[in-house]
Amino acid sequence: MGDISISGELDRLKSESLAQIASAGSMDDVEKLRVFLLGRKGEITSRLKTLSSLSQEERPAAGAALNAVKNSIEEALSERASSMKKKEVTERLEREEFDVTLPGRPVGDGGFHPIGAVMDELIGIFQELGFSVVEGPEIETDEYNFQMLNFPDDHPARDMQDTFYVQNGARLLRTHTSPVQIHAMLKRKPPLSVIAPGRVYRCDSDITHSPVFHQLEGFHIAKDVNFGHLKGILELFIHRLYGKNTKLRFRPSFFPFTEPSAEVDVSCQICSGKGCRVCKGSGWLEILGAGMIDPNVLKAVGYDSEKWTGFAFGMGIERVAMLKYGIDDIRLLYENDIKFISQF
Amino acid sequence: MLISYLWLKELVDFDLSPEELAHTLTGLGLETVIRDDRRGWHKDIVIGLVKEVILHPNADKLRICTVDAGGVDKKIVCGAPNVAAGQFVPVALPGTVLPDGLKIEPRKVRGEFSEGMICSEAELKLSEDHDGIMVLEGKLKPGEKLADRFEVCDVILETDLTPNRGDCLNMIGIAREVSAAVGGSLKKPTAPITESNEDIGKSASVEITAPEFCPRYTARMIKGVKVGPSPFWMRRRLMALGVRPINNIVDITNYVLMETGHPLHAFDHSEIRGSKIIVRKAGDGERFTTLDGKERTLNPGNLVIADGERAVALAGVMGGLNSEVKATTRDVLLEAAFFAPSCIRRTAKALGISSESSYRFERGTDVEGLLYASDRATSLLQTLGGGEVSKGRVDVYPNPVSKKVATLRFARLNSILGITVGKEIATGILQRLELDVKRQDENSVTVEVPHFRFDLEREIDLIEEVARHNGYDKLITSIPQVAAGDVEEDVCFNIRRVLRRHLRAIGMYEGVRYTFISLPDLDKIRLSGDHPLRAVVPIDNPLSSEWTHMRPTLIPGLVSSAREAVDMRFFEIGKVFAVRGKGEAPSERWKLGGMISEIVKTGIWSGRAGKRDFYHLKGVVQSVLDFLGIGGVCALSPSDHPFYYPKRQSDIIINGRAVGHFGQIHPETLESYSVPQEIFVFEIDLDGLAAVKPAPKIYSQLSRFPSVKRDIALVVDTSVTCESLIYSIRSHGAPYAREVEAFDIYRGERLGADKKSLAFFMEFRDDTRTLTDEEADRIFEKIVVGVKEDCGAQLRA
Repeated sequence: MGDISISGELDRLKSESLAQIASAGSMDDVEKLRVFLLGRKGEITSRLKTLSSLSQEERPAAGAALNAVKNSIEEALSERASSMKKKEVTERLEREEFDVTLPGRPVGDGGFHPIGAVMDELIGIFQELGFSVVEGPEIETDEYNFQMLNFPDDHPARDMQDTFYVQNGARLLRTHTSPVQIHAMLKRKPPLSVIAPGRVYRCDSDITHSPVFHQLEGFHIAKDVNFGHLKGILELFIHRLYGKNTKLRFRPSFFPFTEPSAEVDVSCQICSGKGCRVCKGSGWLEILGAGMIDPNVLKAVGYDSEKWTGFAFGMGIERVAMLKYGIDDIRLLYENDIKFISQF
Repeated sequence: MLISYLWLKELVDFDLSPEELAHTLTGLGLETVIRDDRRGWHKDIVIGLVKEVILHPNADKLRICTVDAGGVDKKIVCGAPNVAAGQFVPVALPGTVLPDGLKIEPRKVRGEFSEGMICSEAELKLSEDHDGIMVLEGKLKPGEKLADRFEVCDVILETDLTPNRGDCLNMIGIAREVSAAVGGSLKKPTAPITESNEDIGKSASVEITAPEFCPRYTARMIKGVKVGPSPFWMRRRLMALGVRPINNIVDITNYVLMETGHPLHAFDHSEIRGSKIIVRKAGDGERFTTLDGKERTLNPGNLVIADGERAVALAGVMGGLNSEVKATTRDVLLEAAFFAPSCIRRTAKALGISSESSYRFERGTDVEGLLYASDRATSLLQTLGGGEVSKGRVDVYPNPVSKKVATLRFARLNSILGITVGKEIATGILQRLELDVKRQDENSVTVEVPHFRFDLEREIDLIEEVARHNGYDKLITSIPQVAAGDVEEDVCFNIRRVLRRHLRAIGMYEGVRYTFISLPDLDKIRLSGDHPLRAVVPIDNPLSSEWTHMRPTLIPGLVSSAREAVDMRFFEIGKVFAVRGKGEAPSERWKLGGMISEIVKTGIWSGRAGKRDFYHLKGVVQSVLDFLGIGGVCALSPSDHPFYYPKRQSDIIINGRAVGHFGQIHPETLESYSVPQEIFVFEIDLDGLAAVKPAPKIYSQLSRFPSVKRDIALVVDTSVTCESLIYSIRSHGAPYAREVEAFDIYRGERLGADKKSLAFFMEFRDDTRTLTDEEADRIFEKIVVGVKEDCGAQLRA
């Protein structure tokens, strides 16, 4: 009978304790219950102490029963404790006021110049397409800048590029990056796929012309290169630069060092080709000059134009940058005004 | 080149709107836009017949006209003195809007009712003629629309021609392209001439003494012309193309120039002394006054047209004041010649003249087509000037120029274009462009190139013609096999590329300046007269006095960027230039420059405070060197650059060579550039760095034993350097003193005027065991003794 009464009492203790634990409303309450039940003078502890007064026969069963109750109470306490902790943290975090709109603390807030940023992007695209970078001098000879590029002496084509001369006309500031074509071709053998970024000079200054500006030139010479290949490479390039939906238009044009030559327009990025102020209502922006390398150029570097053909293209970096960022006065690009530069 | 849409309609059959015409020409490589759309301007103007003119009762200068405007008589008040009964005039009836936007309403003029307006040419924007009303010529009917009988509702287009297409600098040239594109026939105006019995030989002879400059010279003689205004249609067309009408003789030569592209010159025959034309090189220093009234000094590179005694024209460029057509001119000698393009170009450039004539001769004119131009003008002089044409022409053409012949291989055409163009299509395009087929077979076609096409000579030129007229949009896009081959990339290029990113990441902004400087810039950065940076490359033809030389250093550009008292942190990567030996190309070197300002964008929030100093600059420089992996192999050594504070600067030395320098900009340089704050600048030679191999990075084992950390504050004379103290601490603390780092400097009265205190953080470690406190104390004591011996340093109390 004693057994029954002991187990009955234990059951009651267990269920009462569990109920109390379940209704504990805070970490404090849970801690108080833990002390009340499991502390040195706690309900369970004191009962465990009474086990020694039981007989040898009773002790194992009573001990096991008491331990089982102790275990379930401990478990309930720790569960309740962790859920109360979670609740308290949640409530504390929800109660707090915090202004996320205050500014971030700056770290290393430098920036690229629009010209540098665009140049870097273009070089990256062409390198991925398999072109290598070659550079050349900014002070050139007439031979490299004009003659070998099929600009005859006294030809009006020279008026397309107003030239700065140095050393009493013995040399000049290159008017385009095209002489790098000549350097690269003379130094190497075809096939060649080269881009030539760099600074160029023309004797001209207004809000759209700067006496110092930048170009990126590219050319590819191999066997059986045709105009379709030129279209293909430029289309890949423009799609990477402006996105797949950009359209290209090739118009016949004239450059002494290419033939057939083309001006390449892309559909206006601002108005998606509908016509706006930037594209002067035409829906198109003139971005590139290109063409098949003129046989006279290949001849000048000693390549057999019957065996090798190639295409070349070039673009003004400032123009691409001005379109990209909506800059309307080219002179802003060279003034190092921190208010301007820090916008990019 | 301006194009009149209505005039073009007369020269070629085509069915394109002005918009379509612009699009078509652009597609042919003749980039064309609509410049001036006049379609709406005159559509309501009617032709009226003035039946009666009476004086206005209330105003001396006004008249009341009765005008038949097509079955209805209108009373119109008119102020023009030239109005007269019997005239056909343009009338703006009530409701009409004039080109300037004025709407005509019935109104009372000084008490008399007026139902419209009789217009002047200026009011119709047809010319600047305000002198009187416009009087119309021809068989007209009252009530007809003005636009139905006269070319007034025109559209003016403008073509931006590339320099190879001199043949399109005229209406017929444009018409030829349109004809080739749309297939409509070209209708060159006829040039009927009735010659008199008098042989031209009686009035003129021609001699060419410089045939290399003038391969052909022809002349026609028109006697007894009446100089006066040109008819409306001609003046209208000239103005449409931007040419100011002068008188019928000059207008006719200009008109034919615009029509055929061939420059002509009309001389007053009475001024041609000896009735003799000599085409010769100018004498050295020969003076000549062109018809713009300016006296020019010539040389034998220039060609002149002379008479028996003196020059009368600067050949191909501009006529002479002494022989121009005047109101009193009776007999006209009409020149049509071919001048060598390079001769005209050199002359025009040297004298700074660009005339309609020189512009065309430079680009090449038609050595045979000039006869048509001459006859066309002669015909017009006869019809409009009432002249009598002498029999025949003088034509001196000692070595007739043969036509160029070129062959197009169809296989080559297709391999360049990457598509297959039909042989008939290719040949057809060439023929429509007036290239005569000489031979043709399965594989190729051989054509003769007309004289007006200076740009066609080789096979590739023919390929371009076919591509152009066949359409670039027909060329099929494909991707080539791009192979980078064995083109090795430039080390310097790669360094520049990664450096930009590093500098940006540490908070610097990329700057770009012009490559130009001027000599005062060199004074502003305090270079002595014999400083090596003074070996600057001068520009022969600078655009501005600020841009006369190529920069020898980035310093002026960096310093002059600091115009404001704000936070600035710039870097620039660019070339600098210097003169080398005589005849040698100037040197070009890549440099990295940087500038930081004393002023910092402050605020508790940004976590920054105070001002930047020299050591911020040094930190940037070290960061660059470390990033490139050469921090360890660089040494700093005292320098004496004039643009820095004498003591606040240093050279960067690698392998015994200076590759750069940094410092605080000298106060005088700041003042001369009006820089309102202290700035700190560095410049590093990137070509020099590219030649340095970075030290390989080898991992050093992490110690398993803890280190003992100690601080030490030492009082020394102000002349003792931080570097020497660290060196001393390290050597006396060896091998345990692993980290020695300065963290504070203090100067104060308590220390004495010539003393400073430097505090260091030290870390002692033994990689084989844990050091005890007692051992650390002993190391510390040893250091204290050592630094006293080496540097006279006292432990700060």
